[in-house]
Order: sequence, then structure tokens, then C-alpha cells
Amino acid sequence: MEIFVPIVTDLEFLAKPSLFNLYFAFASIPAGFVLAVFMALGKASSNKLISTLSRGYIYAFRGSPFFIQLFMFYSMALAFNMSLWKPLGIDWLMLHPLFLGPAILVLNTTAYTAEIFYGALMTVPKGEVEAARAFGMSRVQQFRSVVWPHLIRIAWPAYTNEVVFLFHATALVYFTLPVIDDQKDLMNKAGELFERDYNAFLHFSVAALYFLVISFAIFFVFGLVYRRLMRHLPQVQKIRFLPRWLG
Amino acid sequence: MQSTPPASRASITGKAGEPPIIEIHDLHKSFGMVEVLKGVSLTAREGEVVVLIGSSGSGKSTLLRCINMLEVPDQGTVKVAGEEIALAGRPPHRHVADERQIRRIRSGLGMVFQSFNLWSHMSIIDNVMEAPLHVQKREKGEVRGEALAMLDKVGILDKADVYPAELSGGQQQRAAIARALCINPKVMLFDEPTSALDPELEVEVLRVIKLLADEGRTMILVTHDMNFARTVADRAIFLHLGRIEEEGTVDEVFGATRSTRLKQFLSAADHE
Repeated sequence: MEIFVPIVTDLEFLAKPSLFNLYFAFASIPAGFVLAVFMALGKASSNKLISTLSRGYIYAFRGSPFFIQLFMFYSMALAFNMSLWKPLGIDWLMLHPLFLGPAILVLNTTAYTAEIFYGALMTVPKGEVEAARAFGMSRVQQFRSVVWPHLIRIAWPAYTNEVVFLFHATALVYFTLPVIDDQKDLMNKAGELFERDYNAFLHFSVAALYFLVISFAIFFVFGLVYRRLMRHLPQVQKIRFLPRWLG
Repeated sequence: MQSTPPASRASITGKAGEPPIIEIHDLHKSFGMVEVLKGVSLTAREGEVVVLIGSSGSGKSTLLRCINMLEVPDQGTVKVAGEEIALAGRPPHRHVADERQIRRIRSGLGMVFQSFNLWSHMSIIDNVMEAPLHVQKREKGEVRGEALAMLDKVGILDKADVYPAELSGGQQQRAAIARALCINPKVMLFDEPTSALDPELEVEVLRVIKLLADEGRTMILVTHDMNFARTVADRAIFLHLGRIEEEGTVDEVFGATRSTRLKQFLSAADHE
């Protein structure tokens, strides 16, 4: 049992830091979700300007590494400090990693999620939308009653993927942004532990274990939601989120 | 401009005394370079069953879809119960001018599609109740009672709580008819309602449509089924290459066919 002692110790050390990764992910997921719906509708818009701007945004954020986006936006936030944030009295917020981190994650996940939603939007059954139109529904009613339920069902497996990727991407945030006091995330803390005894395998494995377990929880919850979204299609083979040996 | 047809034509309908409920005047519609409708006028009066027949590409479905502006005509007018649908702009960007008006008019026109187009994520009863509740803003208890009555009428009351994917094509189409009936439409529009069905499923749908015709509902029906057209309709309109080639009572059109094109079309349909 001796060999489990360092693992348990690491689990204890990394418990609080894991909350910061969770915070980064769950502070950015809701905002990214909502913005992505509008961005996807923007890309599908018949208005040329709106469509082009949305496409441009999605291309820029999907087309460049998140790691570089972090550096860019952090340096921009620093550059505007003297001219904007300080005079406005919001420098404490704008430069705080617990604000800036989720903000940049939102910008990034909005683009990826928008592309997923746009793809789903394109496959919403045209006939059903036409029926909604023929029965006198307004554009908003058509969206709420017919388009959205299809869109979210079609997009859900890919969106689940994006949420897990986003969660994993939180490991990158503190490579760029400064750590305030002891607000360390899993990667910071694992790195700190590594510097004590150079046991990279142990510390980073335990950090990875946290990612695995939380990802598992995400897959599980999103799988339950997906089952609910699919309830009207009894015959269709359901996508499995759990490995077979877990039922 | 007055859009009722000449008196001689109106008098042959047998419902000439009834007020006109759909008045279509000089409709033109092109898709790209293809002119699908080349100036079509027709009037349907209250209680009348009008069938639109013609070969594929004759423009009959497009004509039907112009009535509720699922397709916006390039030229010409459509009046529903005496009210002209306001259009604006020039083709190909011609569009409905007043969203509120078209939504109000659409909610008085019950449409049945070839591919049913039931909302697949809603149970059958929810499909039937959706437009009465959320477009017509009627009271839920009343709508539910009526929806169940409509499902009973089309013979699928026991399927009220299942999803469309669990029904046969014929049942789905009957559900779609119940959905259209539940808005208490002034006119029922049928766009090839049995074309996607196997012959044995067709019968059950045709029986329901016949029932509605016998109730005296105003209906406009696009169909390939000449036998059915004969039994259900008051008046038949034969479209050929975007124009009305022949029209009249069912007896005239099927019994004393004048145009050679229609003769050819009918004999080809007989050999199907």
C-alpha cells in the first residue's frame, strides 16, 4: 500500500487547483453557448454583411491556435491598461486572470460552437420548417418550435466534444496569464510539485487523472441530455458516451 | 382589377352563388430561367372542391404554394376571402409586404404536404395543437378537445401520444390532415397528399379527404390520382406548361374532354 501514498498526497494537493480548471470551463460554457447560437444564425443570415462578419470571426478563431489567442488578448489587455482600464477604474477586472481567462475562452469556444450549430442548422428538415411557415408561425416561433429542437439534437454529440475540449484547453490558461496568490490550476500545481522532486510521471499523471474523471462526468451528463433530446426517435441507434463495460 | 373569371365559366361550377374564397389573378412565376406559371387565374368558391391536375412540371404544385405564399409569384395577385395578399419588390426579390397579414391569412389555410412534414420531435397531439395554441392563441382546454376530435375523425385517436416516427405513412398523413383541420381553416390545401404512400395506405387517406369533401369543406387539391379527382371534386383544372389548358366541372373535364393534351394526359394516366 506504500506506493499509493504519493498518489493520495498528490490527489489532495491537486483537489483545490482542479476547481480553477472547472471554474474556467464553466464560467465560459454558458456565454459561449448563447453567443454561438447568434453567431451561427449570423453565418446563415441572408444579410451579406452579417454573414461575412460571422464567417470571418469563426474563421479567425478556428483558424488560429488557442494558445496564441491567449497571448494576443492578454497583451492587448495590458496595452489598453493605461489608456482605458485605469481611467475607467476597471483595471482590477480587465487584467484579472479569473476574468480574462474565461473571456478569451468564450471568444474561442463561440467560434467552434457556432460552426457546430451552423452545420446542424443546415440539416434541420426543410419540410418541417415550411410546415411551420404554412401554419402562420413568425420567424421567432419557427425557430423556437421547430428549428431549435432539431438543431440542438443534431449538434449535441459534436457540442459535447467541444465542451470537453474546452475543459482541456483550460490547462493552457496559466501558461500565459499570471497566477494571483495561490489561485493555481492543475497544471501550475503539478508543475510546482514536479520542481520539488522531478517526478514528472507521478504529478502529471495525477493531474491527468483529474481531467479524466471530470471529462467522464461531462460525458455522462451530456449523454443523459442527449438521451432526452432523442426521445422522439425510438428506433434510432443511440450514440454511446460510456464505454461498453460501464453499461 | 376584378379577378373573378367570366360569368360563363363561373356558372359551370354549380356553386356560382357562393362567395369566392380564393381568387387568383394572372399569376406568373419563374424559377431562374424556367417560367413555371405563365398567367394563371382561378377562383374557388365556398364549399367547392377544386382539383388541379397535370403532368409533372405543369406548375400545379407551384400554383397551390402561391396561395399561401410559400412561393411568392413574380406577377399577379392572390385574394383570400376577398383580401388581397400584399406583395412588394421586383422579381426575383419579390416578397410578402406585410408579415402580420400573411401570418393571419396562413393561419386560416390548412395545408397538407406530400411528405407530411409533421414536426418529428412533437407527439401527434402536440403537432395538432401547436398552431391553434401558439399562432391562433386559443385556449388550451378547448384546443385539446378539438384536437382529439380531429384525431378521432381521421381515425388515429389511439395514436395521440406517440411520435410521428412510430406511425405508418398513411397514419402520418392523416395526422397531418388533423393538424390542418384543427386551425378551423377557411380552405384546405392538399399538395399531392398521397404521392408518397403505398397504394394500400393511400386508400385510408383518400377516404378521409372524401369525408371532408362530403362535409362541404372548401378544398384545393393537387393530385395525380385521376379516379380520386373524379370522385371527390366539383371542378377540375388541367394545367399544361404553366397555363390552364382546360377547366370545368368534373363531368365536363373527364367526360367531354375538349383539348387534345388533356385527352393524351388522361389516357396516359389510365394506363398507369
